[in-house]
Amino acid sequence: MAPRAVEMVLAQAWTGLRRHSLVTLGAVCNIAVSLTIVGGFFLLAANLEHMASGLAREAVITIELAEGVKHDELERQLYADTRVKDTRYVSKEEALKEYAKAVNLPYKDLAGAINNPLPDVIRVTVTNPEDLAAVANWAGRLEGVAKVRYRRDVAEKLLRVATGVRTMGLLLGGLMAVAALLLVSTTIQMGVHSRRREIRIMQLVGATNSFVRAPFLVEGATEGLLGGLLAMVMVVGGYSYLQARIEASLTFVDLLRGLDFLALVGAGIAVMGVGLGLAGSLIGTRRYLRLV
Amino acid sequence: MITMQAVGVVYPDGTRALRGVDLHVERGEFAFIVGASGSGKSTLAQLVYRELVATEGRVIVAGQDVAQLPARRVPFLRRKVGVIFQDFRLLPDRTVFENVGFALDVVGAPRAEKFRKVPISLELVGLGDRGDSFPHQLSGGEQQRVCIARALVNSPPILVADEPTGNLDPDTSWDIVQLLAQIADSGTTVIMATHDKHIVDQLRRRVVHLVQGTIVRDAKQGGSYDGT
Repeated sequence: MAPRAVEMVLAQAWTGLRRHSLVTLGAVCNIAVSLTIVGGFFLLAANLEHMASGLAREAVITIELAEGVKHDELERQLYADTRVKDTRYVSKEEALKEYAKAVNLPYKDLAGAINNPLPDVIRVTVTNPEDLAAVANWAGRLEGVAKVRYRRDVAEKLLRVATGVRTMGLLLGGLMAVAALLLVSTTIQMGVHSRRREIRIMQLVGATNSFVRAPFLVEGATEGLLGGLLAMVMVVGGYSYLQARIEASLTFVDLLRGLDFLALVGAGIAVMGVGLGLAGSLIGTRRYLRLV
Repeated sequence: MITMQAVGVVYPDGTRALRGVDLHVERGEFAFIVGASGSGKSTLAQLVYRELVATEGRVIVAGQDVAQLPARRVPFLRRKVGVIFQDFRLLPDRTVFENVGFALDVVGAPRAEKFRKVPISLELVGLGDRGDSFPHQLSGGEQQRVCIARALVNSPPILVADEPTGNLDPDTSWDIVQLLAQIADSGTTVIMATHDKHIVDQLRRRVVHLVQGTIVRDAKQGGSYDGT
């Protein structure tokens, strides 16, 4: 396109955006909300997966002791197995102290407030993470063992939750995205309608279809970009805020972080916004613009 | 410049608008297409700027078989055919200058070209000093002149006028038709659909008479509306 044509197209798109500014604003907000939902659920799922993979790497089995069982004998039996690297006894008081530290509360308050619900445990470190399940199985059958937990178990549960969260995000976000598409194509329809005389004349004096269509595509893409930027601010800003809060109070939670990661998520959201806007205006122009 | 061979048009609803039309219009010729309302004048005009495609026969405009033209080439055909209408079709929120320049804008012509060509075109239709006016500040005849200036600004070899005097008083109509005749004399092929007997009889040019979609008379020179 000639520079003059580009100038024409941009001027028309600008007029179009301002002409129905309220509907445009509605479309922008709709895109922003749908992308915020998608982005939020994505971050949640990504973090759950991140935590799960962290847990899966730790080759530790937690063995809860039945009430009143002495730990020395059990520890000896466990340690005798060649697959076991190390064992450590953690009494219920110690466990509560650890927990208090993790959630950043004074131990004294915690111990005073609740009747310690934690059991005495032995933590078993396994040399090879592959053997986790086998060792856990074997340990579960030993005398005096109430329950066996190991983190791959938890990791798998977390992964299942993450998948659920991701699916839910895609479903909700997808639904909102469809609404956004329809709203963008409606703003385009209104633009086509209020410019129908002009468009008619353009076509009669030999404007190409792409020239007639281009301002509407620019309009839709701009709506998408604005919505995407809004969503980006909400998602990245909201996540950074929550991350800071969570890491300050729950020190054991390991969240995804880093400027690269957030920049990537933000850029992805902006690009999806432009894509949504473009798709909406493609649908709108295809449906409402009578091209020659 | 314009050739039609055995052209027929049947609308999707089954109405027949044209049947067996054979017509040849030379470069620089001026031809009236006359006939009663519904005789097919407008349909014939629309074939030339490919608002319509003939359902039968061949239409050749400026050397192009219109039916063979792929859709994306249609805009380029339209740049060779200026069109004016009974209802002028000007943009009310733009000045006369911008209305005429619009035809250059939408084909991506540079700004300099616009500032060079629009005044020439306005001068040609006798509105050299009205560039800053808005359409509603002009009389009907002046608005039609703006429309003609817009149709001509791209220097098309063909000008199609569909009832251009339908909304104008007799004196103004005569002025407009004389202007169109001048344009034809300077080499542009002009086709004008009209049912204005008075101006047809006064101008004495070629007259193609349509009755119910068929050419019943084609008076090459000095024609009159009803052949008298």
